[in-house]
Amino acid sequence: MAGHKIKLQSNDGDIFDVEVEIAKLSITIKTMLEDLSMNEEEIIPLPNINSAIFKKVIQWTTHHKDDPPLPPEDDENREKNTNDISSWDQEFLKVDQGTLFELILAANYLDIKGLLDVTCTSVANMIKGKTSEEIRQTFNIKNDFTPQEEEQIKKENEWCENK
Amino acid sequence: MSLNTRIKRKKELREEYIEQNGLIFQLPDETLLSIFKYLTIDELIHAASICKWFRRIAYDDEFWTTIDLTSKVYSNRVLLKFLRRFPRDCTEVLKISGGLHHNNSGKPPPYTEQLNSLIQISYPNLRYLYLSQYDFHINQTAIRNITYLPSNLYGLYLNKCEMLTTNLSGGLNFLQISQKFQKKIPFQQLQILSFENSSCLKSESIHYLIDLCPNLIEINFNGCFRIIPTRIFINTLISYSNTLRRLYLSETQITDDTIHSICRKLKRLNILNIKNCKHITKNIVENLLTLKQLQKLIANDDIQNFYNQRKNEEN
Repeated sequence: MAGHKIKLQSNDGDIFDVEVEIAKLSITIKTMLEDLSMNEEEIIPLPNINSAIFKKVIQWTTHHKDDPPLPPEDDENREKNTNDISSWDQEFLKVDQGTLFELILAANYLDIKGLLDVTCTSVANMIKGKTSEEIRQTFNIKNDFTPQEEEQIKKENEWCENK
Repeated sequence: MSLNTRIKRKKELREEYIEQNGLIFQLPDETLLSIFKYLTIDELIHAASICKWFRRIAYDDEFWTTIDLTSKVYSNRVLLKFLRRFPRDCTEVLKISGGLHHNNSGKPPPYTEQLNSLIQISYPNLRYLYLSQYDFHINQTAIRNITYLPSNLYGLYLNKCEMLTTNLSGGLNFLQISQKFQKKIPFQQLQILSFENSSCLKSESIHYLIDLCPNLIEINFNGCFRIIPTRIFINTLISYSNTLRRLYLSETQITDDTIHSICRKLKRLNILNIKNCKHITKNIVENLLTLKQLQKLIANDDIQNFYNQRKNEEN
């Protein structure tokens, strides 16, 4: 089956020839092919993904096609220590915020766990170790709390600062 | 996401609120949940102070079923503050660690009544409690009796703790049932009890266990190197023949005779750890083979290999 290709269409009309084995890293596409037994000659539309993002997704899946499957997630191995993004992925994720968020949405829609993990980790790392003001600046967030909420937050933060 | 959170969101939308136009606000709640999975509890609390949306997601029950505060060492004072400030009905697992820097003495801090009662009040649905590096006996304020711990637990992990473990002195024993509980079994529901690396635990104390918690599935004495194979100790283990499936005895001073008794009675064992027990020899392998339900043996290489070899021969 290696080398066998299927056609996938982004929402701006471009058609991509993608190796089946790579496309199947997306559980969504895998399900379409296997459970819904779609004809492999048919063009599969991906209404939620534009060409630019889809190219990135293909780039990522092609690089990671031989990765061992991820271990099942449980509380014990849930990774909080998030400095371990591979250097290839770090380079891959050097994109503007808009692209990063679109990648997350695409990974979510296509159900590609590895890509979702690494993109979410990357955003989490943008939150870690920053002051509130820095986080708000990073993501262009306005402080929208009411005075009562502010009061409550002050009490909670007092715990964080008091170590 | 919990239903509660969705209802709250609806409420929030009705209220007049400041419009956000950062790109991150294009993400759905589920995605922000996935991102926040990578934050520790204190990072979550910090994230909750950024904006309403972050706050709602950071305080979603999903992140608070397990509270793990062991990545840093907090003083009792700071911990008490945390417990008071962040009570949760959804919390089922709480992990706290005292560290060894109490009063610069190189000893763990006391596990106090105050800590204990706040844990019970703030987390009424707690099922698993991990207390590592606490002192249960030296300090005046420390809890001196296991029965004061929350009694609705399924799992209790007292790891690397100091505890009063001998009744030879005539004093109170940490594992003894206090007067208050004489009539009922304090830990009826407890399935897992771990004393891992609580190295001052001695065999004499163990015989209270069956009265304290008669339904244990897992007992962990790993690293309790003062455990010697007294008759009482062995009888106590054996009294769990109806329930016990996982037994961890690594680095204890048990002998081949101990294993012999265990193998005769504890027929339900799935997991047995006898690694680095210096008195255990290869001779015990034939006995181990009689544990038909054993799925995992953890032992030193020579015993392990011989066991595997003999097991293959049998099949």
